[in-house]
Amino acid sequence: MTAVEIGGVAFLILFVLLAIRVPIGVAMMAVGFGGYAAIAGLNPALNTLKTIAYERYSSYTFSIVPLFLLMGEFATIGGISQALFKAANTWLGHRRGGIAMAAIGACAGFGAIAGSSLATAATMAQVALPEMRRYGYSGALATGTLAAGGTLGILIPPSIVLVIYAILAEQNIAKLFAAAFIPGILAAIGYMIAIAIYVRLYPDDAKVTERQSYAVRFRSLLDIWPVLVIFLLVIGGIYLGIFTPTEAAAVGAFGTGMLAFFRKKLNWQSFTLSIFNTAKATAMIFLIVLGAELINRFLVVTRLPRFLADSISSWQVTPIVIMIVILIIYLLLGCVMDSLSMILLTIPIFFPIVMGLDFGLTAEETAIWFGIMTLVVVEVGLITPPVGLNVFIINSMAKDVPMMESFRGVLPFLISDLIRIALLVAFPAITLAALWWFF
Amino acid sequence: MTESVSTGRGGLELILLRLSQALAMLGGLVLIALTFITVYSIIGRSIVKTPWLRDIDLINWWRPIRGDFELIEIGTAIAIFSFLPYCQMVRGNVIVDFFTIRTHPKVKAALALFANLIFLLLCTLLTWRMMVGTHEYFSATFKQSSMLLKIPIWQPMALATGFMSFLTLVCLFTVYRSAREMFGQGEPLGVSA
Repeated sequence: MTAVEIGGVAFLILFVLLAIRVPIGVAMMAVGFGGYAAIAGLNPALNTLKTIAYERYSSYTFSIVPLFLLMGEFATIGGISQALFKAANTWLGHRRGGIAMAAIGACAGFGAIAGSSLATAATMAQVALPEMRRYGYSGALATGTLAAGGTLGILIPPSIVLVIYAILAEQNIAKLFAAAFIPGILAAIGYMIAIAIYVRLYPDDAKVTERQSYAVRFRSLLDIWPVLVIFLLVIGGIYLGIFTPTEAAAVGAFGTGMLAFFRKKLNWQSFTLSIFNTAKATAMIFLIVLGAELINRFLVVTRLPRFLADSISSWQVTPIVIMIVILIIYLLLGCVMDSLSMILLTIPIFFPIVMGLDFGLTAEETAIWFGIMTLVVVEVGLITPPVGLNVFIINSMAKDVPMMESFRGVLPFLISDLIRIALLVAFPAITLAALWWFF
Repeated sequence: MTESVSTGRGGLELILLRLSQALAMLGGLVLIALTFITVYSIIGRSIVKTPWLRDIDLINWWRPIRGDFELIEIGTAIAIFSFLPYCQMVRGNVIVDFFTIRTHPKVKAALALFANLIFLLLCTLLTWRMMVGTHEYFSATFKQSSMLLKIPIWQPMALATGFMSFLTLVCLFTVYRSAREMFGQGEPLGVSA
């Protein structure tokens, strides 16, 4: 067998292992190590194991991940989601479907200080779900809104998925965050439009509440200033070059921790919960990171990515078609896999392919554009059936809503997602504009 | 969400859970310490860089912490290694359950047994190699150490290896736990992902 063939077989084995419930990180480690040993020999493979884990885990850029996770956990217990939702609701609540729109707005706000989708969805659901149900919003609309809104947690920077992409593709995190901003805002607006159209079609799904005076509206903004401060501090600090992205994550964790402390939400129970949640999420991610590192070393010796990139560029297809095919693969994979595993598994293969194509952009622009599009499509996986994790989480919190209802409620948001993806593919300028302005 | 291990938790399971929780808490405290170090350093750096701040007597002694980047690197590595056993203990490692979602809990337990065996094997291998790696750094004539603080790399590696050994032990236990579930009631509901 040639090295490329071994690579192919190894990926087949990997998919079988994944299908029979071997944890993604474990399966990647096993195949990566086994495959490397098969090509390079057992001793070199054993030698890489001596330092690979410590080297990977002590890398400065990767330190950003647990710190951002901690930041999100502290933001969650800080009770800031409540203030965000209240503020958004006084501005939007009186419209038809307004509470749902407010939930989207609050998710976007929470996404600005948290980098993960599940946390955003779960936290916002705790405050917004009872409210929507109280005002007669249908189960489908209420749960669909929150599941979709949760994805804003990762679309709006800071974003853990984007950090991982930046590391794998060796791109500038600050530039990626800047580029993610406009598509993230577009996502929030698109979701609100989806709600507006939905309630026009099904007026019974949402009732309206009384309009609030502007005095009340502006007063509600006072309660959310810490969010603004932390966001500006973290993101602004990175752009102005005052600190590195890793330091920004530490500052953010410090900030949300202080927020939780001064809002008197930090007690032994909530503190241990946030530490354990951080521990669980971090360990889960880093097991996959280690698996991905082993797979990558294996991929390098198979020369599979190079082989694929070469054969694809010899096909004489328009680059945009290949880009669309890759995005469709992500959408399909997203139905069964979680976003981080997908990125860690596929970027080493897809990135060289994309970089070998000519989109009329510079190399850096292509890399950033592709990163944002990847981010957007892998996030769609969180709300697509059959395994939309966000939908599961929200549905488990709304006891009276059947799962089918929730997936039906997600549909308008999926349509909005697909339209946005088409726009981002067609007009790279949407993504790159922020880059041209800021850098 | 943290106490997701339920059904018939034996004494051994409880002991290992508490130990892994204690270890995770240690890692969490390390992370929090890193945030303090970072904030302290950033403020110190700003003071050093900004002339008018430097002129304020009250704070002009404030300096960035020497080797703060190294501390972040070493600290995060320690934290991550300390989180791994807890995650395995509470079945926190993400799986693809799309193809097996409707299988019997006993089948799930059998597949978990297989997965845990692979993980046990990998962990054993990794721990053994890390021991060798640490020993090599330790006994090298020229001891590799961090740039500013001169912390010999074998020290944090030894700690990490210790945590890895504990992960191996936890893996051994989860193999036993899956085997017991396979012959008993099957895998408890709603514990994964």
